[in-house]
Amino acid sequence: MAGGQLGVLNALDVAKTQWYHFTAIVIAGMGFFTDAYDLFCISLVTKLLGRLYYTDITNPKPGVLPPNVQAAVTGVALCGTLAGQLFFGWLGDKLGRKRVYGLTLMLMVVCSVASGLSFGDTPKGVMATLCFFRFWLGFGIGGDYPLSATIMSEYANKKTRGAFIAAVFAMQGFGILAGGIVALIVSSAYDHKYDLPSYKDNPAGSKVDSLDYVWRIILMFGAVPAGLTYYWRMKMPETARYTALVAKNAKQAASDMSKVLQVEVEAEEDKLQHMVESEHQKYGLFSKEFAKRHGLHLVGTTVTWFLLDIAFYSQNLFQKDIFSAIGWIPPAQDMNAIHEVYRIARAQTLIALCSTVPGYWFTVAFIDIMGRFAIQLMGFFFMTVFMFALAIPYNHWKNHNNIGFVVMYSFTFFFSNFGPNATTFVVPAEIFPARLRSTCHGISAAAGKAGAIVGAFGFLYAAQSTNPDKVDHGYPTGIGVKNSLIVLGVINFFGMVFTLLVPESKGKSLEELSGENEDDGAEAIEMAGSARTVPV
Amino acid sequence: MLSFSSLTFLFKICRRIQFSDLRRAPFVALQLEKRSELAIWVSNFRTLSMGNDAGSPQGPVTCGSWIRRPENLNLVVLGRSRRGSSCPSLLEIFSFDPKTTSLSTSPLTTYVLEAEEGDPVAITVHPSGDDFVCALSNGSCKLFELYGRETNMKLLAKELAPLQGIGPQKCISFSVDGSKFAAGGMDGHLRIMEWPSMRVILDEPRAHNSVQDMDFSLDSEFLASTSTDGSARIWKTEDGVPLNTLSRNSDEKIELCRFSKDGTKPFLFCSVQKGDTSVTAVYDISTWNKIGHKRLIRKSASVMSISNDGKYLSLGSKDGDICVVEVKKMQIYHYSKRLHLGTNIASLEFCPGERVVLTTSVEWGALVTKLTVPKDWKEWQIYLVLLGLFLASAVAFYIFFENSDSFWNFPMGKDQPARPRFKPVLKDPQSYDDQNIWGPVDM
Repeated sequence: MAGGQLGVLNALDVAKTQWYHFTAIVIAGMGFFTDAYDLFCISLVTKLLGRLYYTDITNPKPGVLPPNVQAAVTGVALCGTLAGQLFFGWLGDKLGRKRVYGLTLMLMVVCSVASGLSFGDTPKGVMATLCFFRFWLGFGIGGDYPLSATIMSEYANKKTRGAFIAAVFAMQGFGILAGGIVALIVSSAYDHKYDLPSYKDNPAGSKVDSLDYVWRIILMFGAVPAGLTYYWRMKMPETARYTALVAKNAKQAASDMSKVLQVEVEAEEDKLQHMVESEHQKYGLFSKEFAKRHGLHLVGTTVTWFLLDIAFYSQNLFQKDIFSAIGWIPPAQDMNAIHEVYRIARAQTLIALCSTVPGYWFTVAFIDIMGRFAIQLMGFFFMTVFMFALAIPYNHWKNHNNIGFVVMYSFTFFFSNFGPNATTFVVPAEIFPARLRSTCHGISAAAGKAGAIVGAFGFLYAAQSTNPDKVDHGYPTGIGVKNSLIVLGVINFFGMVFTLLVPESKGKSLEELSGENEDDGAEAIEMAGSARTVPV
Repeated sequence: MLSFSSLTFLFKICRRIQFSDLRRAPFVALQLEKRSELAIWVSNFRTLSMGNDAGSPQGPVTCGSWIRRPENLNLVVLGRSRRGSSCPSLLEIFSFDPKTTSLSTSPLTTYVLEAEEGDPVAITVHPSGDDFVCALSNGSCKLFELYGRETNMKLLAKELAPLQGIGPQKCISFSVDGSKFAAGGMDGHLRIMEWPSMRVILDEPRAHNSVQDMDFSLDSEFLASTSTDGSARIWKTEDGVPLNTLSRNSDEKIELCRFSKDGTKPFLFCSVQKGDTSVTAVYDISTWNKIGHKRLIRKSASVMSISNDGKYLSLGSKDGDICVVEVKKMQIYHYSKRLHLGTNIASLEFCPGERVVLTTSVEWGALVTKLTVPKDWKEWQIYLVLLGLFLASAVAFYIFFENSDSFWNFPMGKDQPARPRFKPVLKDPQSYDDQNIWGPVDM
């Protein structure tokens, strides 16, 4: 290893903010950027896929993906993410996490490129290939996400860790933004090249074969940030941090070590007290003591994360349907294929630019001022308010005020990110005792993933119209967009209710929060700040 | 000239090793180990023989260290003291062959120390692998730069002004990130300096009675140092402030110390002498409290080392034994009894990239020993597992693809009973035409 690279680590700690820190921010944040791009760019192209492969020109409406295919294409990456997290978590424990960096990123590069390729030209072949490689892309993302969090905590400057984490945090929003921008560029280029009639005027002429390249380019572009991430990470020196101290797992590590050592024999009186302390602190996950102390906390963190991700993922993946429903995106038959991609990308990019990204920054600025509890409660509250405000006068918005609808809808995204999206990740890492912290955090995260799957798959069907004539081809009737929004509002309301079960952790040490301090005589070293990341 | 006693002695050593191995290792490992050991002894024997033939045997090895070079190349630097008037003090660089687990038979380069410089006492290599510092018995430290390729290697010596005439240094060490250098003197004087600027961070004449051992932490934030009187202190390397003194009972003497190199295990391992027993104690570096202890090596420990990835801890004894312990379970995974028969092991160090240790002693010189520890996963094995999963899922996907036409296809009109009957009749030929006319170009 070159001496210069080693010097980076020393400089990160000693020097004031310099070029090193920005380099480290970009390197650490590229993982989150890549993950966000790859996971969310699929929503930009599903309409186009439906038009290209499933159009029946005798039907007055353009083709859309059948419900099974839509669900598979949209959700398969999430299933891959879950599988990848399990596999690479196991592999990281066996090998050390550093050694699997290259593996996950190469997997992401290869599968991003491959998802733009196909075996055969039938709809069946194209969709099957896409689903297969999207699964493995999600698998790589599942492996990469915790590694990105690890890199962030390992290279954070000791003095300005909070600001560092904030900047890395925001890269996720930029990833979503980048997806929209790429789609805008590609669709604009094709729109200028081909002057196509709308579907209503000329069904056969509203698409040309070369539009097939559009969705492939957008998906394959995901390989670029993944490749850049790989290049930069390979240049980083090996870790030189006690990550256990950074992540406040020192007690857990010490506890594990004490099990394989002979503990000092103490005097009789000390021994008795030691036994009492040990008994008091060694309750397990399924014990009465845990249920009494932390049962409600675990219910609170699990349910809030579950409910949040139902709302969050359904909003992200199906916002284009909402835009169509209120007319901000014209009905599909009034556009040609490429123009539809353009309008969807523009709408999503505006939402990301005005709501998602600022929401992240607001959370970072206020999380240690307002506290996690207040931010989460406020976030769920305003999400509830804006959801109901959209849903109840839905017909009014639809017929009279498109701009008002979009503004209100943007606020739900803003308060999702300046709200529970961030805090549901931070809080489980803070309120449970050290021995059980990673387990409880894992349980909460798994609930979040389950919520994401419910949101991704469930909302697709629910948002269908109650009128059979208006239903997209092949779908059963649903409850309509209006009622779907009402359901999401109710979900957010319950998120607010269950937030009351979670204690406030602002300004308290981990030992105070988990009750360990009541029994320990020795004070743990107070580590400044804590690693805060949000799930993709 | 071969002496009969030397030959007999060598034969006894081989025989003893063989007997010992039979009890401990499986047959395959035994073969590997025996071959390695024999190769080492033959190598040493040849060296001695050549030395004898030349009429000038080399001086004893006093210290040694690995040098990590680019492209996964590992070298070894050995320090030899003078013997009589005809064998000067030397620094020799050898290459290491991982296939045969042996050092090269002749050094790549040699540096001869002047008589007034004395003998090498300790060597520490900078993490970059480009230079190392050698502490000399005349009370100075010297910097050596390594340059050239393996076939044309040279050593260039430089004086380090702040380290001239400071008295004999028992231990010298670079921090893990290479930005700091520490020297512990036999007079108890402890110094910490920035590297390479040599700005003084700590200059404490009375840090200890006499420095015995010291080590930098993984994050280069702490320096632990032990004294011959059994005390141990922790220093902050940023500003040289003493942070803590490790707790111990009155009958305990902390002798050796090594920080963990595994980021998930923030511990300090110490070799502690309790009466006649030597145990390894573990301290938590977030509280500096002792977590516990365990007896690992049978005799008193003379040297301690930890592997670069932090998985293994190794102890060398004053009787020539070495043992290698897995840190996670604190279990002995390798024990070489009397590797340096009846002699204090002077240095013990893990190879940066292989499961091999370098040991040196004055009596037996330098040995490299392949460890009988579980093999690490190789990169290609990981890729193989992933490829296997990939192909298995490809097969599963294909089977699903072939047997689930209804999943992918557009629902047929007949599935919708409310639809008028005449539409399906018109639809079928259109669908057929649509497939041909508008399908994507075959990529």
